[in-house]
Amino acid sequence: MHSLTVIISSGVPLIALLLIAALGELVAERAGTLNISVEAMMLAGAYAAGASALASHSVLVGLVTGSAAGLLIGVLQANLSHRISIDQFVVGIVLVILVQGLTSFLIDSTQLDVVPVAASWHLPLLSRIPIVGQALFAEPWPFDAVYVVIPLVAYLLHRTRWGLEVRSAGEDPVAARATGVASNRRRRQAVELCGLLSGYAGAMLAVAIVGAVSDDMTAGVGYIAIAAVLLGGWSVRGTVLGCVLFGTVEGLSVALPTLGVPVNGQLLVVAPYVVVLLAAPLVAWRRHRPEALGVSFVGR
Amino acid sequence: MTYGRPTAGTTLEARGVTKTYGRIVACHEVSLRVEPGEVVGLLGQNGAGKSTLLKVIRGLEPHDSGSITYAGETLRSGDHRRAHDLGIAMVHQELSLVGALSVWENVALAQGGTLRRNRTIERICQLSDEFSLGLGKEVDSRVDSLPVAIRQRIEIAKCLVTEPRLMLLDEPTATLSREEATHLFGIVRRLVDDSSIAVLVSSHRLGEILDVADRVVVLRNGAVTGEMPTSRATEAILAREMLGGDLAAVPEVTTLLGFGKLSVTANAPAMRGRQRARFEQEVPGPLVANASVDGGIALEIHGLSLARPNGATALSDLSLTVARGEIVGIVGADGNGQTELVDVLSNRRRAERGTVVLAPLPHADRSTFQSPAIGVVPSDRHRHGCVLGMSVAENLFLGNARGISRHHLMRKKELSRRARQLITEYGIECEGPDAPLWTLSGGHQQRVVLARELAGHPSLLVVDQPTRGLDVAAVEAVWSRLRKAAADGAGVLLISSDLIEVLHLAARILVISRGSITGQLTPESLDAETLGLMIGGSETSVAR
Amino acid sequence: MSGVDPLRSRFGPWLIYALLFALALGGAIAISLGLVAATGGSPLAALSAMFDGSLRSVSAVVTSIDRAVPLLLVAGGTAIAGNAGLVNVGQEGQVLIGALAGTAFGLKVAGSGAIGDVGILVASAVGGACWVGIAVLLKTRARVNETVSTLLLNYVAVQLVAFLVSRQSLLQAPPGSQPITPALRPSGELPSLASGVGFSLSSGIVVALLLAALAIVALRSTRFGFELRIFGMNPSCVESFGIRRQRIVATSLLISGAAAGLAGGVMLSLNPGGMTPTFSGGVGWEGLLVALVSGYNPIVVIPVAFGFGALDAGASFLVASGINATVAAVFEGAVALAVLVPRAMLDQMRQRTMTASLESFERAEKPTTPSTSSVGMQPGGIFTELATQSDAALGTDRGA
Repeated sequence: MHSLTVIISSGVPLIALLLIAALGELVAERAGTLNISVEAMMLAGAYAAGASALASHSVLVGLVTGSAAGLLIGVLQANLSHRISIDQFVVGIVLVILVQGLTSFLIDSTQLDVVPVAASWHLPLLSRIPIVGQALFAEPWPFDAVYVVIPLVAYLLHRTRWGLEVRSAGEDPVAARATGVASNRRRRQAVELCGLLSGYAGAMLAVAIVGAVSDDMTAGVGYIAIAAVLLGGWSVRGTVLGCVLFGTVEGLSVALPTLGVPVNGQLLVVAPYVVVLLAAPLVAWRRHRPEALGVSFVGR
Repeated sequence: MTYGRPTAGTTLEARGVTKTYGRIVACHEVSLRVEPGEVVGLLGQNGAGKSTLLKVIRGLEPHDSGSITYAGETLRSGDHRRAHDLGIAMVHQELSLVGALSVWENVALAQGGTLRRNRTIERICQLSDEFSLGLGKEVDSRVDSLPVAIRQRIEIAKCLVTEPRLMLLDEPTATLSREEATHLFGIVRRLVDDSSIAVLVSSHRLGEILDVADRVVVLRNGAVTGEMPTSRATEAILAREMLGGDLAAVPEVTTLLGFGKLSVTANAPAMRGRQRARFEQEVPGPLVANASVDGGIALEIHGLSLARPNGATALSDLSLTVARGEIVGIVGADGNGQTELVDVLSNRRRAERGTVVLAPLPHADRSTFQSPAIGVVPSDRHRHGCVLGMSVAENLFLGNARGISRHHLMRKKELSRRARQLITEYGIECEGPDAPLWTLSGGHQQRVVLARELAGHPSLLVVDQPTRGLDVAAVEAVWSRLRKAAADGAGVLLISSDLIEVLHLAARILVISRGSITGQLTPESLDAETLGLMIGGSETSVAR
Repeated sequence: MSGVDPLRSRFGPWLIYALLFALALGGAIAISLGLVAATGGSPLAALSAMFDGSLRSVSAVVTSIDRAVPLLLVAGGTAIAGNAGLVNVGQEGQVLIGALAGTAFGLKVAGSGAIGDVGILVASAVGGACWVGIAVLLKTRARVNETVSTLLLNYVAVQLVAFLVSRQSLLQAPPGSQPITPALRPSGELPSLASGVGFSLSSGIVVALLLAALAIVALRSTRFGFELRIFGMNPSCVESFGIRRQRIVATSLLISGAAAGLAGGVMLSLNPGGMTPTFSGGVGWEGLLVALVSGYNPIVVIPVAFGFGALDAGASFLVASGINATVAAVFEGAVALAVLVPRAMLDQMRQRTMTASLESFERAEKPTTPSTSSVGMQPGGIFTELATQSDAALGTDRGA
């Protein structure tokens, strides 16, 4: 195979994974919640998908169950931080620890080594394109959700009343409330949507990429999704670019050794985190930050 | 006329509306009526109940008793949705604008229905043309990049897109300049004349009410004390209605306003506790002649300027002096710079320009107290004056840990002992020095703050709305503390929107308006005009 | 008029809170045991195994204590930062870097005996402090939220260690086939307090208890602790009292990082045999949980840390009964929720009834004040002032 194909196809699964989860997180952050529990949502989705796909021999069932599991975590995060007003970071961390422990326990107690894997769809013409065709358009079919999710999130955020209210809740929940927007309710809904999408992403990991369920299989991917949103300046376009960037870099850390290129594995893996940390202080970047990100709001 | 909604028969009728917050009566049996096509002005001091009443009518706050009927339908208490559907809308003071969103997005938030950018922009332009709002070119600009006056008009546009039939304006001109205020009222008049909308506008500014309203309703201590068409009103008459019997207790003022002996009429409300007590008690020598104890200046401010985060001017070249042993009062409606002035003096914020000079530290006993030159009792005491989660004793020493510690270790016994001293001295009712502050009532929390600030024998004491919401006994206690502090040699800067308080305590009175001192008077120089000024806060400077 | 409103009595609600907590705790236990049963294990066998592993014998008790020591250190430091309202979630990374620094010192600078032992501990504390120092810089210079930065730094730490232990020129142990450092034994081991058949109580416990005591004293009785608590409960008022906020933020976070680093150093002694990138093994997260469960109270941290340590020690005996040890982790997470939720709900209820009438009246009467309250609930205590946006604009909140 052409080496470029190898590189791209190593990165594509992760990019798809990141994109769906990160776009969910984007909605949550535009609403004002820095949702650390993405990792928990994805992990729950992965496990639920694997278990249910195995039980039902259906990848579709796995995907649906995984999304539902992520949604459940989202409901927990949403209500604990935006109804009972527990600090959102604390809720996120506790949920991650809890889900990690729970899935680890369940994986060990049940046999979940191999699960049904989604078949690849070779998109008719596109997959014939030289070099990139095989890499981009011959992927397992759940990946194609990406083509739906990106325009969907963009549309939701910028062209619907719901999106307008969500954004206003993230910039100034007090003013939004005074205008009649149920700020906390929108925040909850945004987090729940994030749960749905992240759960789907986790499900994808189990039944479309790895084909197995193992301990802590998400391994911090949720945090990279958060990093992608931060780096992308809280816009849909930026998030997509961030995911492509990070996914490619991680893909390289796998592909290059295969191609015989010696590479510093740790550097590539750590790059996303370092990049975001370096970008964080940039003033221009901060201008795009939702003003009420991380600020609690007590009220409807 | 750009309104499709019929306004015939849409009368607002409030009958006997009462609203309390715990023991505080905000509105007492208020009845008023607003017909379509008229502008009714709601006049009253700060704390008279204007804003609460408007929020109750809008349904944002539930009322305890009485009824509100609009267009023949009786509204349930707190039913803001139904009020909205019926056409009752409120124009907030720019607080309901989301700064990071654009103008059209903010207006769209208020519109409802599917989000349609072009439709909204079209409507904004329409309204802008018709009422000279000047928003046409700015529809895509971020709201926080626009000046305050424009933001006020965005608020109006937000209100107008809902096709209201009754518009409630709550102190709309507080942050506007004179020209902008005039422009605003022009818009209001045009609205009313063109489309028979009804408008209920609240204000404390006598001149403005006379300009814009057809009728004026005067509120005092939560109750309606008078109502008249503006054609038959003058500033003096309105001032008297607004301050009424309270001022009768102050002899000088009684004379100048021609009250003579004022009796409690049938119309007079069940006054809130302290007002009644004041009325019935003997007033102890209202205007204290403050002699400087050892002369000298306690505070000198020159040319202080400061802007708010949103760009509006908070302090504008403000200058004043306070002598030792003198109580200087600052009067003016909320939002004219008092909070920012206190912030600068308490070191919460730094001014952009200007100087603040405090007297050198008095020769206090250094070994027992860290003696600050300045003590501050902020108006927003929960946020800036104390820590609710800590004990009474700890709150009494918030800024003064050094005074009770040795080698960085705080001595608990010492803390307790000193705290008990202060608790007794200031009559703070609590379960003990270790009781958490949140177990105390508001009045006693205020005593704690006052005790703390006075304990250091400051050379300057700044108090902002020190007795707001307190009961009779607490008010009297605070007043005597302030007098004592002055008698002991401190300079006292008293910021209050309660005229009675200022007239009772201050030797000199400064009027603050739009961030600077616009007038100074002494009790001897009071006349109807300046009294109106003090209440009305208009821009004309008065030098006496 | 009485100064004390009966609604505001401070003891009544505590009863309700205790009840709610007991209920929630019972729920956590039920869920955990239910999990065991659902996956084919026996709850009774599980409980028995847990007891065997944690408390039945002296050796078990020693193991429990040894497990608790790093937790105590991490949680103590976290509690200090928590009382300032700062949420540090980077303990995993700080423990790791602390252990790294300690190993580097032990291998390169070393010395054995007292200097070596103390040196390793000091080096690890410094290492942890430096690691969190990155987050401190980001926060004080650029208002970057400390939760985000410490979180991301965890992952950077892992990769840094991985890098260093994969190169013989750096810290990798010969012959260079494993990503692990050489063992520090015997210089890296802390002297043993008491030993017997099959166990050895490390003096790490002394270090931990000493520091815990220091933390308690610091928080409750020093001027710094006083100022720190003021900042934690009401950040917008500190300037008026002459408290420098940056100093509080920096110092409390650095203490937290140093404590976690120190935990890493102590772990070197408890787990001799070289350091790997996964050396911290969840101690950071668990220590954070301990701090949360304790409500950031440095006194409560001590028994809770020992409780969690016992849980861990007992959990290692579960495998023999065919039950996966991570059920203990699930239980610990559930306990954290069990503690947080009732407290938050209670505070919310109480806050609604107790919001002073004056405050409500003032909010209603001021046209420029929103109708919502600004007082909220944090794990550290009730009536902590929530940051408002005007605070953020003025810089009078906790910074980012």
